Amino acid sequence: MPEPARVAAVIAVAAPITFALRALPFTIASRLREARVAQVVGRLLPAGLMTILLVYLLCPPSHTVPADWIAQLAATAVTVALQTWRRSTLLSIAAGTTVFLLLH
Amino acid sequence: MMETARSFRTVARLTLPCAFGMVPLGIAFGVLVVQSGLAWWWAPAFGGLIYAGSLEFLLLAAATAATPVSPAAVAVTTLLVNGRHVFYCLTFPLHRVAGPLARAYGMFALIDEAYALTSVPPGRDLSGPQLIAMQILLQTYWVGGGVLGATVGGAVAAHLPDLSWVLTGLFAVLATEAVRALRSARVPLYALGCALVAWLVAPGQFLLVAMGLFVAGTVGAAAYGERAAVRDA
Repeated sequence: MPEPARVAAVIAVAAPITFALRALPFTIASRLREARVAQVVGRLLPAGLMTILLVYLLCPPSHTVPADWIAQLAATAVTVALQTWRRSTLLSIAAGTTVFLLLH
Repeated sequence: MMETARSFRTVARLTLPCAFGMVPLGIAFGVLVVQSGLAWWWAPAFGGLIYAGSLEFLLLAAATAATPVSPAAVAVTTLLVNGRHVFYCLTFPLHRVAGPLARAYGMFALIDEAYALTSVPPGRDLSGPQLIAMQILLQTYWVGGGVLGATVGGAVAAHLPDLSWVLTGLFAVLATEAVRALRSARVPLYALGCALVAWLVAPGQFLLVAMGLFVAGTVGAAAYGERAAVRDA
């Protein structure tokens, strides 16, 4: 039986740090927004960070191959193709999910 | 009133794919909470106070491990796992949110999904109240899933199809839209390069290293472009 005090202590350390990481950058963000360099970076950022998050989800950095890797890749390929063609988020994800459920 | 209902429906539709990903993941977390020997309400305590999916799984393991984990180790883990969030302020439209409480919540609940949804159209054009409604919905999915998993537990989980892929699908859609908005293959290719380097060199800190490399590279390129523009003028 884990001690509740230990769990509470973990939350008490992690919660303020998580909030600070999300909130503190905003104190300089308003000044950053005016800088030309930050405007350029802000425009390029979503495409880059989203690509990196997608790689993270598809190719685990643990260097292990997930059992349903082929299903994941196929579902993602179908979703990207459909999104490029029809641009309907729900349709793309529904089709990808169907492929995933059929293959895995 | 009609207007409010319509704008809320827009938000609910926008977050729907997230619900399919976050509720099952929340259920999995809730099941794990009770399996670790904790009371059910620790699931909403984690999701309500920390609210950071992958970190919560790590911390739950740390908090219930046989050998106690030091507060310093918890702090470093939190910094490394959530370090990527410092970049989200560059595009998240917090300036549209009015009132100190709403603003504080907007920053507190700035998870990957909230950043991603607001990076590309149509989520990019949400109003302040819509942004907060969107974030409250996302947290409800996560915390609600956690409560469900910790109370009804395995009984529910066993009857759900494996929807773990849906979140990947959502990021695939958002990445496609973000790349389309740029009309350039250079940025995603450079991001892939950063990911490859991080994957090979620092798999333990994949997200932080890959995103750090990407941001450093774009800042460098933008600053160089700026200098060149000034020089040529």
